[in-house]
Amino acid sequence: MTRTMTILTDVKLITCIVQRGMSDIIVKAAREAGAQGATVTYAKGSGVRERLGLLGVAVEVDKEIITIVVSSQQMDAVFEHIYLAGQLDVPGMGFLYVTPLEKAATFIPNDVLDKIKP
Amino acid sequence: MPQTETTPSHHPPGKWITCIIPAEHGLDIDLMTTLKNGKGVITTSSSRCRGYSGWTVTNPPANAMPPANPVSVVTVVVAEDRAEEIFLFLTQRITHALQEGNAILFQGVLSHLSQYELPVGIPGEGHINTL
Amino acid sequence: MPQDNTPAPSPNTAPVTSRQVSYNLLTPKIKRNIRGEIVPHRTPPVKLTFQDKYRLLKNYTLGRFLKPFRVILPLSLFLGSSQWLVLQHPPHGAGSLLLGSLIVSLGLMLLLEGVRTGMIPFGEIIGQALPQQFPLPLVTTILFLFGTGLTLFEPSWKPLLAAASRLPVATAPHVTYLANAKALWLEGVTGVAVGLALVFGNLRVIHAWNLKPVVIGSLALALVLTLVSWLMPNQEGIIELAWGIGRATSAPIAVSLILALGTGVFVSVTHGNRAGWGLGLIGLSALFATIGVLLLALAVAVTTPTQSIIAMARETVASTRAAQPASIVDAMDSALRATLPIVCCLAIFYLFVLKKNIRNPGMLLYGMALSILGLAVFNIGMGLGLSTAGVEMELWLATLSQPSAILSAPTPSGYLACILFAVPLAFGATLGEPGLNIFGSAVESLSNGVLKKKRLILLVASGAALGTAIGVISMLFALPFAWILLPACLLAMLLALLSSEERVALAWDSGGVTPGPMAIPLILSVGEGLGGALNGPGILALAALGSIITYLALGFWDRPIPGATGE
Repeated sequence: MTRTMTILTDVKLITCIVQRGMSDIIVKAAREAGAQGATVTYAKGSGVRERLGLLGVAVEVDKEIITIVVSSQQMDAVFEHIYLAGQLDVPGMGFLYVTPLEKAATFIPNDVLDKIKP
Repeated sequence: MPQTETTPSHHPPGKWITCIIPAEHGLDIDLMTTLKNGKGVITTSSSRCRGYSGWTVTNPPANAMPPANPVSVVTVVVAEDRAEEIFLFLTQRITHALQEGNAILFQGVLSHLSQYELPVGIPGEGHINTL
Repeated sequence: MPQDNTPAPSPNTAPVTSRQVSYNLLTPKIKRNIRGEIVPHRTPPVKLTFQDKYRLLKNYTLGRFLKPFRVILPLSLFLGSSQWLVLQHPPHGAGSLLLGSLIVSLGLMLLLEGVRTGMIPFGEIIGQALPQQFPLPLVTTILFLFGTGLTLFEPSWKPLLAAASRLPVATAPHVTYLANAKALWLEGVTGVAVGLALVFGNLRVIHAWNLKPVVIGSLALALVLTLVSWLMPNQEGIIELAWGIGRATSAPIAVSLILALGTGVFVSVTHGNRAGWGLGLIGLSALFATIGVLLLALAVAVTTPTQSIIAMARETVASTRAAQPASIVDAMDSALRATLPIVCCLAIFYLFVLKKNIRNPGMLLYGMALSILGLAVFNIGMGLGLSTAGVEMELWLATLSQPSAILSAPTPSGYLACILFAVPLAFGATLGEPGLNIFGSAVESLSNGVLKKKRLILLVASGAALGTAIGVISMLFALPFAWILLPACLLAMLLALLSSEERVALAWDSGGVTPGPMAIPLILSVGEGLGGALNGPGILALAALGSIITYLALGFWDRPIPGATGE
């Protein structure tokens, strides 16, 4: 039996960096906007903390990085929903960006594939 | 900026490939070693994350968070002309995880790439130039 | 899900309007010198208005304060109201109970923040640097001294000793003798046991030995010793004391340092590519301490005739009888004594060994100062509110359960009241346990958030409540402690045998961090109120065993713990 590999095109990668503990909100928002998976990493950040002097201790260094693979069509919706849910318009809440992807490969159930075939 | 005009020629474009695979069984270490030994690619890194997957959950509850799984994110950076070969190699290498719906890999474009070489004479490491 | 996919320019008018700004306009203009090199750009310090500063500090402190407060306040209210219910009048010092819980929460906030920013990073740096910079024998010596010192200076298990030393000589001669005449020995043995556990636990990580055989082996040894001690004459209370001490050795600061040390060594040895996270040290410490105390008691029993023990116990008991009330000075003193030696020791490390490894000494110092302050504030709060309430509770629990008191006979409803009271108390006190909170946070970040702190703490607290309930029941029906302990240990052993390496480490560690300074005085009071001073430590041990068994047992329904299969 020859195996065929399904290669997905029109994929984008959304990356979101927020304060530790915020990732649940982001992942939930992404799911609500139709994203089908997410990966969360713990990380440390820097930036304004060093410029605040002693008060810098009050700024959280611990961050979470959320990466989400989306289709190019849903990208805008996911982006917007995350932006609003994470309150990224509030100073210091986080940062969001999109990377173009050439292609992706993952398991896609056959019934899902059959549905989109003409 | 006119001063940086010379830089891109030193740093050719490349591709990056990221695999998100289950963290168990040391799959990430296995991937990185086979990449080094089989393909001579040493520009790899792995980090531990937690992953939420949509396909594996047959009936995800509408509002609840799906259960998180420990995953490894292995990122490989390669020269443009080797990307196809390495992408295929990686898909074959993690076929099992892909079939089970526990993995995804994707590839993107890099505009600049710096050279990475290991110093000569490290025991156990050949003098490999990936790019 | 995919029906949400809207075409790129969203047709339904979005609630946000977007504007595009070139990032080029926001980044600083970089200057170059004559040779074309970049002149390092210096970002000017941010000037904050008073309002900004207030908001920043409010966000920083409020959440960190409210988290423990939400646990401590209900606990205090529960204590106060149940006293009111039983005694039919408002409890003495209801105000100081409330003030106490405020202060305890404040202390917890400072302690947890200090541990997170100071103790844990420092412990990790030391753990990483030790195997890299020193030969193994020296590492072993340092670890041994470290563990012994940590335990000797931690005050959290002293209430246990104090309780034991107040026992009547006639009922438990050996315990009173040990706790009074041989108190130094007892402390020494416990310290050495923890030191050994640290050495062994880290050697285990370095040589990639499995934890399960070690845990099961030492549990078996402890079981045999317990059995021997139970069958010997005049050994009443020894088992309780030994298991109680084992459960109470690891106080918050020691927990954080031992934990961080373990992960540090683990990272430096394995580069993160092996299963487990260097956990298990705390659980091993607890087990080793129990074995140490049992061995000491056996040695004393074999070498010294019982008659002279009773005589000597009588002599010493009078001199140490006075129970000391906790004052602010006491609290500060005990906090300083608990941490200063460690901090001095760490400072020596810092100055002579690790200076180059530390990138942000200011932050570490801030964290360590905060943890010492936090521990002191915590102790003050405990002395002011919860401990005192505990002592009062001890009195009325005694009246509730004893036939001689207000209630003419111990009625089933009296029994039920005791259990209904003890269970939420143990649950609440464990939720607020600083050591468990530290451990939970550490596990959450080690597992990249897959194992949630909240879940771990809830599981452990339910287990502790279960253990306490069983302990209370056994006490009310005057069952021998060994009847409960031995089956519980056997069950724990069996479950450990069937569970994965990681789960065993997690379970025994979380059993080791509870009970700590929060639950020890309260659970001890329950035990002493119900069954006399002999039984307090026994309930502590059962509470911890309850957590371990619950955590292990739930593992069979749970998804496997990350990294369970290793390489």
